[in-house]
Amino acid sequence: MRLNDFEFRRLVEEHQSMVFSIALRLVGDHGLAEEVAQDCLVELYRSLDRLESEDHVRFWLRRVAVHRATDALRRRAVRPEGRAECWGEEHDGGSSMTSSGALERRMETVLLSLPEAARVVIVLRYQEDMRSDEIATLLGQPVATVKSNLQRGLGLMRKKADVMLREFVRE
Amino acid sequence: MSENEVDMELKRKMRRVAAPDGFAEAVMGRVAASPVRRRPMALRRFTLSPRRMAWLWPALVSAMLLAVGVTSYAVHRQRRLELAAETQARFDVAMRITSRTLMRVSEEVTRAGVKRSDSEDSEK
Repeated sequence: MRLNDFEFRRLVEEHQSMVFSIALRLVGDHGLAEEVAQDCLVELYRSLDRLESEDHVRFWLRRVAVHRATDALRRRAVRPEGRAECWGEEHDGGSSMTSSGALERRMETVLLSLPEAARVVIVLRYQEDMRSDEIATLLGQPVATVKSNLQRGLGLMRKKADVMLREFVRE
Repeated sequence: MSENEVDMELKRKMRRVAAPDGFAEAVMGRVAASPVRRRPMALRRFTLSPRRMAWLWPALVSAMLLAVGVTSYAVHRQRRLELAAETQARFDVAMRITSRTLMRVSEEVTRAGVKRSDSEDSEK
């Protein structure tokens, strides 16, 4: 693909939410997620020659975002559970005071407490609405591995959600 | 919560989050600050995408194997021709030696025969 700066900016604006959201849900830290997302899009600018279409760009961005986010997480050894507690207040603008906002934050906290492999699959499945075979292609894994991680993640989320719901009700 | 409820909850709640304000400007600023050296247009035209290159490697390997096979056969054939020529030359030499030897023997036999008839004549 050959784009001028104006066209590239349009591409950034189109995909920035996707890239930022993937990074944020994987690393659980706002500042780190922003850095990772910017890195992905700067790398996109360098790699445009190799990309053929909008679909290819989307596929490429998702893959790079996942890899960079997991790399950043391992490098910094961030404890996502700790960071996720303030994440909701920055974005909800007060809605975290409502029961719905509190529940949503807890869901994010539960998500961030999952093992990395399960978390990646759940983000791609539910945020990006990707099928298991598409996730497998993106991650370069067998479909069976993706499904296994998905089931494991959902099972863990269910257990943790039950515990948190009971705590929430008590509060 | 059942897994089905978790599934539905995730589908409902896991929406994309908006990037922070000024995100696009920050990206464009970084791109402008570190100019990317792109390959010249003429070379970019020859860039092959990974998908297109999927056929290229098997074709290259096949061509190399074919080249190696043809070269090996040519070398082998040349060697056989050289060996055949060498063998022919040796045979020719052997035949010439044998022929010379036979001729010498024949001459001696003839000489011996002439001497014998001479001596027989002289005895009579």
